[in-house]
Amino acid sequence: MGTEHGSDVSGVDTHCPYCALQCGTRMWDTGGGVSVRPRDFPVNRGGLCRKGWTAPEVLRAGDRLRQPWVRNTRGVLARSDWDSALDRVGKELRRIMAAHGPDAVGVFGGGGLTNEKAYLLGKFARLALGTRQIDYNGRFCMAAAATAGKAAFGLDRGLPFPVTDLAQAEVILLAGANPAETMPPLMRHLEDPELIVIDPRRTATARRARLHLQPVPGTDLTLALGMLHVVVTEGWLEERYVRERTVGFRQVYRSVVHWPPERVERVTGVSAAEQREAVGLLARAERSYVLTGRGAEQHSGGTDTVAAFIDLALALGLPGTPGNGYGCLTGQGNGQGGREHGQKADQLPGYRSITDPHARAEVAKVWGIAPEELPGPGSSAYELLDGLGTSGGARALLVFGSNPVVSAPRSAHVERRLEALDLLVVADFVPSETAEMADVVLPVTQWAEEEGTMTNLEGRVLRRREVLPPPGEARSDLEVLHGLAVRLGQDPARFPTHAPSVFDELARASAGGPADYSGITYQRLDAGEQLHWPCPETDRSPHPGTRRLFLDAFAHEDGKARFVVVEPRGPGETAESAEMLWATTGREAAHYQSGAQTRRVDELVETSPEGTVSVHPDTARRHGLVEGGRARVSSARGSVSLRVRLDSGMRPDTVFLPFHHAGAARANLITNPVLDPRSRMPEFKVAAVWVEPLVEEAG
Amino acid sequence: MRVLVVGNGPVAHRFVGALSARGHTDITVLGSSRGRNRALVPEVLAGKLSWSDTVLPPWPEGVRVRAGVSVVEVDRRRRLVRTDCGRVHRYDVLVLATGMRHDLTTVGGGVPSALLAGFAGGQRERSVPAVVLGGGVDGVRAAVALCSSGRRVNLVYRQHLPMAGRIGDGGGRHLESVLRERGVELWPHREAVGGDGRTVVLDDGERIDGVGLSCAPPVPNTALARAAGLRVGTGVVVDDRLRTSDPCVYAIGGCAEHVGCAVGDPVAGRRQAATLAAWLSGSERSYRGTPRVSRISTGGVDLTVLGPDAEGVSGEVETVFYRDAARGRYAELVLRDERLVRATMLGLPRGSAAVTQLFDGDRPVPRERLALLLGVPARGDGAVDAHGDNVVCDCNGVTEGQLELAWLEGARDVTALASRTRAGTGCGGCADEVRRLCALFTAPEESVWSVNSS
Repeated sequence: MGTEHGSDVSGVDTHCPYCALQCGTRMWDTGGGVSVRPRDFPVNRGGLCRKGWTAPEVLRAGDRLRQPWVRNTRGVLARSDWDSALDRVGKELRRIMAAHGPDAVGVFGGGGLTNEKAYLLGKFARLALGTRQIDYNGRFCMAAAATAGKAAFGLDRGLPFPVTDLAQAEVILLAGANPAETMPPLMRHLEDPELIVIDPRRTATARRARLHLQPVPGTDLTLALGMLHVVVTEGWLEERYVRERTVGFRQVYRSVVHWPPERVERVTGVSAAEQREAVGLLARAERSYVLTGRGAEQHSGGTDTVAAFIDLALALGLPGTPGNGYGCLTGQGNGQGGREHGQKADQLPGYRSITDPHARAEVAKVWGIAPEELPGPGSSAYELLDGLGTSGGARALLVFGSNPVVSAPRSAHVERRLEALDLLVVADFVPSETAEMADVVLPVTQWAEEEGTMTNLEGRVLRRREVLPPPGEARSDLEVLHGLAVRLGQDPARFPTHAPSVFDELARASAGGPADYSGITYQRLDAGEQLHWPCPETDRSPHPGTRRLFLDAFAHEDGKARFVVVEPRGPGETAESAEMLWATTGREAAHYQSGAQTRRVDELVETSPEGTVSVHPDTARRHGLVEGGRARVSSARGSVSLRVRLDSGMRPDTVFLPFHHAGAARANLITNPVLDPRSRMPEFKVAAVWVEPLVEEAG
Repeated sequence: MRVLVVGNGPVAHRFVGALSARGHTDITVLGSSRGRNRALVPEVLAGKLSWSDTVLPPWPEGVRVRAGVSVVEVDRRRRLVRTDCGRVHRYDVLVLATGMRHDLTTVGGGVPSALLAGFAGGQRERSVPAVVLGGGVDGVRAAVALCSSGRRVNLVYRQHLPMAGRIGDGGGRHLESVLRERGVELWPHREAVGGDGRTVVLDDGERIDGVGLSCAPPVPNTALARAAGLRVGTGVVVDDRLRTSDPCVYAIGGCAEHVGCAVGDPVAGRRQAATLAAWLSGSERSYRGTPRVSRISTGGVDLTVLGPDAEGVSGEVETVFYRDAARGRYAELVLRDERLVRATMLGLPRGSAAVTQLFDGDRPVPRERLALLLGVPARGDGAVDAHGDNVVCDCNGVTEGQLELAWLEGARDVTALASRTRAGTGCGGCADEVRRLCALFTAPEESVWSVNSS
């Protein structure tokens, strides 16, 4: 077990700013900057990836935003000051709301924001603006797994057990996850278990696997059904567990018997023999886990796909059994906390539904308003962006900690929607591609310059600490929200700027909700306590937090998990000719999300300077592509221009595009915004494309 | 639009599901017996499923399903059908999904219930020997499935080799030895002439103990269409819209014949069902045929046959041939312009899956043919080594040269090397390699042989 320490002479303990693993680091003020080192913390055990090591460089990026910028009458972003910038935003917002109502203002948040920021952003939207229209980029990340997890278990926490439990497993199935590149220190827990990796690419993780199943993009759900069929027909079903701890198996059985592995093989390309081998490995192990990642989730059938993998895990008796389980590997730094505190269109703090009258009453009480004053649910992230500047859509958008120009699907269209706004306000610490389009840019603090909490992929609440003063005039997002709220006529006391005060309020607002933080305090966290939510406030000795969920019962009223019947629908579009290929998108080791941060770190840019497309050598030859040459990849949405990388680990019918790059190399220019009906997740992971060589212009 | 479907098998089920999902509400289904998925019979024979499991999942809500009624007449002029119980059903669109006749009968004509008890069967049923009649793909599949449930199995066929017409003599001989190895007793050049439910009598007078299971090639059910005056060949003839010679009547699945091809392939049926549902909902999709795939993957026998029968290929072709009799592997690929025309693969399960997908998508075959057949990742073939110049630690991009430099500058153990270069601090996968290099820098002559390089 790791402990956390506060500040001392040998540095300050904090966490890496990037992914959901939230590796423990120690940082030092080096006079004008900071340096970091990994520390022995449970999730990273002294490890840190390249992004983490170089994170301090983002703090002193050459183009770091140091003062507000406001677009002037000539249409140029010019330096400004806080009062002018906030006054302008306040005035414009009041004008737009007066003319078009509160829903004419949208708010777009991010999964990298601290719990305090995410909470205050949601409160700002519902209270100061009174708008329904708030959602966040986590919709592009966690929504499918969250929806499926909640349906099956009654509660969604990425990993319902500590990461360290994984190290004791014998077998782990990774469905659409590539932690060796996207979350390297996690692999320290996966050294002993045998891995089964499902991925259309032979990734760094797949290379380490005992068994790599390489399906056609978009067919993961079908593959899960084939494996479930093997479980139920070849004697691997945990009958007692299914009887005592679940409901709905009979219906799933009736449906899944019609998916024998031979049928599944024809759809997925994964042989019946490998499906059987995978199930045999999982089922024979005493301790095994099924984990999903974005590869399984970012589909128009994403929720159903996760549901199918959960069905598989339930049939094997894994969830809620010590040493076994199902989990989802959350992506963004605060992807877990970000979805719990009310920046999601349909949710209130404590991970409660905005349509639940009881939850509304509780939160309204904490906020000092009547429940009727709380707006209802708004549109999901892509729908919010798609509606911008249209009749019925938002005419002003406030963006906090997100870069949708790069990260949203069908991004050229999203850019046009942003152009159609009357007002675009972006709070960020670097001039991201979205900030560059803004009318007002507000410079904010980042990790080493602020206090706050993050909730990692295992639901553990962690402290982030301030070591450096912010550069120039940069302010915390909490101060920005306070400043805006005051200009909208709010009582200043409703929008505290002191992170611990915001946390205390958040904790109260979450009390009684699924993600109950009410027993957590900064004092307890600073004392090094390992607190996983739910951690309710008690009259007696403090609640110890909940490291492992579901051991006694699932969170549904009857304590049982739900099997869910799902049928594959296939991807949102089909390849119309044999010359078309499937494109799938994802992350690479050197960059994080839209790249707004990592593209500002020299060492990372040197490793991965530009957008690439990975192509199987045979496919490259056939399409006239050569290693290092350029290619145009086109879908029904648009075209993207990329450097070719030959990779014999690709399926010949599939190309891979990392999504971290900007401009004409944006992978999301081609992605399909068709949405999962249940979670509103767009289909980032499969698009039908044409690939052709691009002649490089001289000069 | 009133849609009337005759037949309640998996193809009809799929069609109705797809049509209902597209918002159609006025759908009626007429079936002569309980709708079952015949593709699951091998799993029943293998004892993995029970016969009752083959019943199809519930139909979409709002769909009127009448099981146990037979349609006796289609009156195309008045757009109605009559059933054996005297009811009349009107339609705007009639879809024939009458399937194929698969007789799961014993020689005497009854149902071989001992063989079909499947998962639900008791010890007695499971030990009854089986006599499978028919050496086609259905017969061979049934034989290996029955064999995997632990009973004694005989396979009786007219040809000299099992599946000889489909896979030729080379493949047939290989299959023959695979079946013998599985313990299936083979009775070539013979057919059944009688039996009593416990014994089967062959045409040469031989009597075999066991329950007979007739696996004759299935025949499209076309009687209704023929009587209605629709064009019928081997199946009910349909165009690229799955339309019969009457524009209000469609046919899908095993009863339909598209471009001279009537195949009982469930994949073809499902694709036809999806295409027709889309077409009736205003989509411009058309059906362009489904490549013919015969597949057996049960009881440890893995056989894939793609394309026309062994004798059905002519013209300029390239042939890839692989045989490893000791390991029970056999492959024969016939290519034209780098695309598969036909293939037989036996004992190569991973390769089969990949080859089937290439054939299905009419995609070119990779250059590394052997890797394809074995289903293993191909070697580089022009791909640049992603690691570049001796990168030891991928997570932090640390090269061997950088490690050596750090060692020369005083970092003399793994911790010091990690601290200076960050090597090994990411996923930790290179820890052994860093240790090896550290030892190598320290005492080059000795350690080079004493440690195992990864």
